[in-house]
Amino acid sequence: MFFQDIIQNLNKFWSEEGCLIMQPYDTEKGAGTMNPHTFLRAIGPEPWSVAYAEPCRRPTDGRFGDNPNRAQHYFQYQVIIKPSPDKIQEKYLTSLESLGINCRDHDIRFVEDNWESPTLGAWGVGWEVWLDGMEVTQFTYFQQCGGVDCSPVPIEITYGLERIAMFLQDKESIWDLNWNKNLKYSDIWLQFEKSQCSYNFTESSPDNLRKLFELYQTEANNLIEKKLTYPALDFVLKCSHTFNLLDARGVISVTDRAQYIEKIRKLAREVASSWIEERKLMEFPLIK
Amino acid sequence: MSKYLLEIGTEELPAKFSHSVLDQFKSLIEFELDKKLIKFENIVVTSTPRRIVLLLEGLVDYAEDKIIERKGPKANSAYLDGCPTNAALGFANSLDIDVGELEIKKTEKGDFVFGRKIEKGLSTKISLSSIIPKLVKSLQGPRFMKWGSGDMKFSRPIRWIASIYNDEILDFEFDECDPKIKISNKTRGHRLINEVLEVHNPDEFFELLKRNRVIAIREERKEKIESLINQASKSLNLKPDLSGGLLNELTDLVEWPDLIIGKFSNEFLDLPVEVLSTVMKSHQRYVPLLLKNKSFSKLDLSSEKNICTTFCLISNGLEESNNNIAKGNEKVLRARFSDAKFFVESDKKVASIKRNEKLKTVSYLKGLGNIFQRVERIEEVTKKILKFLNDKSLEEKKIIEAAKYCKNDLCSEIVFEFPELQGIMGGKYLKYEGFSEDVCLAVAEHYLPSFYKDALPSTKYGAIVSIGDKVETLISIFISGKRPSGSSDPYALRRNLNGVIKIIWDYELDLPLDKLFKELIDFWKIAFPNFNFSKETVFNDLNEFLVQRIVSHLEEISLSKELIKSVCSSDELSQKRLLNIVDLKNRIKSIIDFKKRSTFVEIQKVITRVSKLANNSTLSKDVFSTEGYVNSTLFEKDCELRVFEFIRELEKNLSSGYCNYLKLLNLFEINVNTIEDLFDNEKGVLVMTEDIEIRNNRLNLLGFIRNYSLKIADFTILSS
Repeated sequence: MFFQDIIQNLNKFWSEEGCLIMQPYDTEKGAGTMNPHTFLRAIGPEPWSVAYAEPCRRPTDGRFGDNPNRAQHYFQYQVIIKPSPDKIQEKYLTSLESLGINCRDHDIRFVEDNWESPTLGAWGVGWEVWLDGMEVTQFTYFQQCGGVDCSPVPIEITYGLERIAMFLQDKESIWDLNWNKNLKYSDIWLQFEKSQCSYNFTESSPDNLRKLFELYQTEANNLIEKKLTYPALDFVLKCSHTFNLLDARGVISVTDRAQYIEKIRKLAREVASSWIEERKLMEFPLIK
Repeated sequence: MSKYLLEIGTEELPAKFSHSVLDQFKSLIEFELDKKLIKFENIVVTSTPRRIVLLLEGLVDYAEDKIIERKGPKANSAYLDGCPTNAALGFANSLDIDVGELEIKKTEKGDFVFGRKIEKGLSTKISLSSIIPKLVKSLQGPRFMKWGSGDMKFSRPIRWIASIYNDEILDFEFDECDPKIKISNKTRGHRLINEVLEVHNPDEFFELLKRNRVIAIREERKEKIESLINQASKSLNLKPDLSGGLLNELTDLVEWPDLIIGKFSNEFLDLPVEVLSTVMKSHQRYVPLLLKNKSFSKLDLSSEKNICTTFCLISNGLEESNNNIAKGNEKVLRARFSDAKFFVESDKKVASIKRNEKLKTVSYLKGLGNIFQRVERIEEVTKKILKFLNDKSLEEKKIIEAAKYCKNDLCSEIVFEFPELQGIMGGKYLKYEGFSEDVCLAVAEHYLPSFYKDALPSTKYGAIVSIGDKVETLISIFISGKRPSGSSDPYALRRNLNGVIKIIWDYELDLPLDKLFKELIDFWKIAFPNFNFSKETVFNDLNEFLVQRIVSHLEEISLSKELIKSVCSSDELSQKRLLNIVDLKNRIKSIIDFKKRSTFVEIQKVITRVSKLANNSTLSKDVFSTEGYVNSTLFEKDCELRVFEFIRELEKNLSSGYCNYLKLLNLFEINVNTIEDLFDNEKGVLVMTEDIEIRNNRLNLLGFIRNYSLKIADFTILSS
């Protein structure tokens, strides 16, 4: 199954399960969770079901395309359903079947893995899903997001698309994956990977990044004050990505790190509570 | 006799919880049943990743009758001329018994009327239906969660509950889950079979599950896994690297364990065995198979002498798919190993000295510069230690080299990926570059001990670098104004200092830590002119912390409380003496040896008597020279003179620094009668005599005996 068909199949599967099918969000982010379709919609009393593919950036994970299993830019497939429904694990296993993975042929396990994002003020409990020893999916019952208790509780399912594709296509390197019949993953992304790695590790200017962080932080604060939740979140995400870029340059000390994380978390919390207030004023329109 | 079965069906529980919940659940149930007087013969509590099961066998259907005795009105108001009054009638009535059944009993407050009532035992079914939901909700564990829209909190979502009393469903209220759970007699088999199964009675439950590929009895699963692995390794003549922890985890990760033998390619044998086994054990939960009787060097970069390319994997799949599952896992392992190999290969291309340079880009703690600078300070500390030790068997060049390179692997790719291999990999890389064995081993082991029962560095070189590393952290954190508190010790200073003490104790290093601290604080003051700290405060705080950790070390090596107290009694003098750890070890050993002697009790008694009396003396505890304190012309009897000679003997044998404690104790042993004679009716004297001058002279004599005995221990605390 080609990479693009995996996404299509998952779209089809979760669409039939009643999820909205969304497109990726247009700001750099470390995980699909940061997309407002998850980060904001996960909190508050309104029901919500959505699925989307999300490109993610983790600058420190870059290896100039030399590593067969790791890149600073990769894809997640994210499903979020609130409230978490009964039989969600079974539904997930059926979604694997829709990709041609017959569960009875494999050893599938749900191994405890609790998730925490200090920058988002979010945590949840769940598992990583092992498919014959390979971690292919992260399953999380969100308990808190942006410092707000999640009630009802959403379930987040995050598929590692490259991992699943490597499994399905029997490849040993992400770069060898077939995106479609004609082109490989490397044809599309290798050059991108290399130049981004050069930027992340050597060419970025730590001074400028520090300045940018401050600018983004100021912008986010101003927007929070004006109760403009969505643009405020955009700038929180920019802060987070800028912090990751500084981290990749190795210029962040242990204490620096704690302070940066605290700054971002504070912003994320404020955005989250301002979003709840906004929805409340709108009388939570999705509650039917 | 009846049986009751409860199964709480869940989504996959964390391995640790599904194990730890068993004792908790069992004791809660036993307590409740006991309280309700419900008798049973046997209780089974077990779990799998997807269920917690309780089975009660030999259960009575009704609790035992309970006899309740109540106190009623006073006897004199309950009966008038032998006839029951209204008070007595009312009391009997309230107990629903005949007034004639009342009895009069004496109490401390006079005679009272008592009545006995028999409360019929409740039906076990009714009791269980209230006990069970309460108990399930009171189970505790780390990180409990909510799910859906429900309010129930548990380790993972509860999805079904089977509750069966003999052959019927025992219903109870359990409403807080979303979706609501209907108590039933239905269970589920293995996840990959996923059929709903009806349980007709508790007897057939475990067999029914087995037919559907679930071994619900945890012990049975554990034994099966262990014997599968042992059999396989025996037939291959290999040794399984299976710890108790891993075996438990494997048991709690599967419902239907099966052994699959996997293989990895020879090409990965040029990776260190620590890397291979970390990947297999901690990341993949495989059981590595080690070669038997092979010598193992921590500094080997390759593992061909240690490990076999075959490994064990405990699967939770269906056995008809074993081939497929083996292939999948081998592929994953290949990817993980390739990753590691990639890291090691690129590390090997970089010389350690280059990696050391890179440490300049890694920040340490705020204001304390980078790791390179920290390493320079570690070097300085080790030099000072060497100076104090003055041990001719150690080569300074090697110590300095080991200190200099001890952190180089922090900038290696493999340690970035596998932080738990720090130190070890540094040692291996240095060996690969041709550094001497002593240097490499010191680097490899300088994080030891990293927890209390951990091994120590195997050489003195490693021991010194380890102390250097830990002391550097201590001083840096202390000068930046931070102190560990009871609840918070983010820099693990306690563990660090405990490690230092343990090394000094075991290696018997003649290293005065307080003096080392003093010199180092001066050095830090110069290195960090911007830090505004008082040298004295830091020094005093460090010393206080040190005393605290030394005492805790003594507790950890399981010395008795009174022995610890008797050598550490709280005055400043004895505290200061604790700082000399080798001397302390000596002292304690001498006391323990001496305590075994038959004469000990007598010595202990007389010193205690002397010490108690001596407290009437004005002689300070830090005086050891009799000059000016004892006047022999005031002696009235021979016994005083002989005690005086004994004290002079002690004085001669004791230079201010080190003591030969055994010798000192021997002196006490020889002279025990001399001291006792002081108190003898005929030979002795009255210490608290009228004449002040003579009295003080005698008290001072006793004071000296006390002072010298305190050099060893406070005998008044020491029990025989």
